[in-house]
Amino acid sequence: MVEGHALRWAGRATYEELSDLAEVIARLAGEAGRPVKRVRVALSRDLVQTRTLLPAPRLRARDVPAYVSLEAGRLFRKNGVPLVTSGALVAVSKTERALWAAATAEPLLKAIVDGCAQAGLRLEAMAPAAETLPAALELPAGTSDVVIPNGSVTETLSVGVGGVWRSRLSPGFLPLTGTWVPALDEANGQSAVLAPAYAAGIRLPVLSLLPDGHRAARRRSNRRRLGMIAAAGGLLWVLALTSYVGRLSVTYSRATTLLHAFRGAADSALQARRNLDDGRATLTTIAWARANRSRHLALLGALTRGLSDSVTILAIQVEADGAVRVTGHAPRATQVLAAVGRVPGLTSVVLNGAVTREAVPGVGEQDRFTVVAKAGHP
Amino acid sequence: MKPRDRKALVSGLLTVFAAWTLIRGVPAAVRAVSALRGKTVGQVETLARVEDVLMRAPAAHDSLAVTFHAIVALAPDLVQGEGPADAQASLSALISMAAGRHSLKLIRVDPLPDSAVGPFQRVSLRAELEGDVGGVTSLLSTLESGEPILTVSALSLDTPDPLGHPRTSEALHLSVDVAGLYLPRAK
Repeated sequence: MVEGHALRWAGRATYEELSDLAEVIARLAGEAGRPVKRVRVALSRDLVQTRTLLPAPRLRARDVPAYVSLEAGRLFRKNGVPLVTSGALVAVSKTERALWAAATAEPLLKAIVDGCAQAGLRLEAMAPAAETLPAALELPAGTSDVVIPNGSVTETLSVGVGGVWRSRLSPGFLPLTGTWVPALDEANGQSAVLAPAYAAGIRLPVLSLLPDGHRAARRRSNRRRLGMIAAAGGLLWVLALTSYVGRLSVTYSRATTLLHAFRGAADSALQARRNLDDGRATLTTIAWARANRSRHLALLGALTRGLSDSVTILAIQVEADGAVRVTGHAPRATQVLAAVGRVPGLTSVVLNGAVTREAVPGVGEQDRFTVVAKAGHP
Repeated sequence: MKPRDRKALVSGLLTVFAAWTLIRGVPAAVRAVSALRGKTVGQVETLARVEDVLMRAPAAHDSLAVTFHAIVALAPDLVQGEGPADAQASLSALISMAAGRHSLKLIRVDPLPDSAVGPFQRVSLRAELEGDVGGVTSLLSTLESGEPILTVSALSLDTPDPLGHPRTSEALHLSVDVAGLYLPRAK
């Protein structure tokens, strides 16, 4: 039993017949001391045939299992037993790929699958132990061949960039490459025996030797789970939309009801505001009219005070646009021009037309003038 | 019908239904929800404005009462009359009365076109008068500072005999355009 990278429990049991395997699996799961729900199976080297094609044929990764299955008769020994095969492309280096294939007798795999199913275990993976075994070793950097002694034979694993891509068995004993990981230190000297199971627990294999029926059942299960998730997602969307529309409807209905309830008071208040605006406009208009009242009397007073007694005014006109025109007689028209220019509120003072010299009865000759100015206030 | 045929038929129907839902149903639903959202937002905003108006209603009523009192107090400032003819008659009477009070001779009165000033109408006329300096001065003072509010928009003052006679007061000819405001009857 592995949790994370820690080895929690290990057990060992043997079987004589394949029919005993289900019971053995169930007993091991029961002895674990904790509930076991998921299991990964690492098949030892004597149960699995492995083959490597280097360089790999030109295949897409998803076509490799079908290729291996079709070529099973050429690649593996059948010995009269149907085989379950698997294959994958593994990067040996940055430029080279190998086809890494494995096969196992189908009855054994079915017995394992059935045993797991009867024990209530979900089978996550089933692959050659050789594929994951390097995960249980601490290897020197750059190691490409991993030697693992196993009794009277030695297994040599070739490790590339993408993982294990070849397994070779040779007679004789060679020392182990590297050392077992510290997690296996508590295995009471059984590190070599427990290492395949431990390695399968911490690393998911690429190859999958699950029988076709189990794979199909898993695909169906996955599809069903995906469908359920999609249906649940769709249902949640519908619920969210319904909730949103419901909330909008309730808000709209409530606002409409309140508006109906407030209609009378609101109309009255709006009418009051309109009346208030009209009233203020009325007051503003009267204030404007009062402020812009004409001040012609003051202008006439200022004008007559500014002119000397020798000036005789014949006519004064104040137009609506503020133009002021003063006509009269004076000894000198220029003096009148200067005097008018000093009257407060008058600007642009000029003589209009030519000044003529006229004889005024009882006074003598005087200038007849017409002065035009602009009043600042109409 | 074989199960395979039935499955194909069901799949086809489901595909058609899904396509119809995606092409027609979803856009229609989005439009409907969007329209409902727009209506709801508009209604909520209207409700907020109405609540604001109602909340300010007491203050508005108080201000309205004050404004009404101020408007009532404006009555002396306006020319009497509810229509153009009434207003012209009132203004003519005012000018005539003022001329008589200040010893001026009213020669003629001509109405001028009306115009609108806010809620009021402006009534105008041109008056020609004759009299002495004191009368003209008093008349202008009455028009420009008395009640109702009148304004002299144009003025022409001339003397036919500038030298005059030593024993008689000079005679002035005055032409004034006078305007005032009246409140027309609401239609």
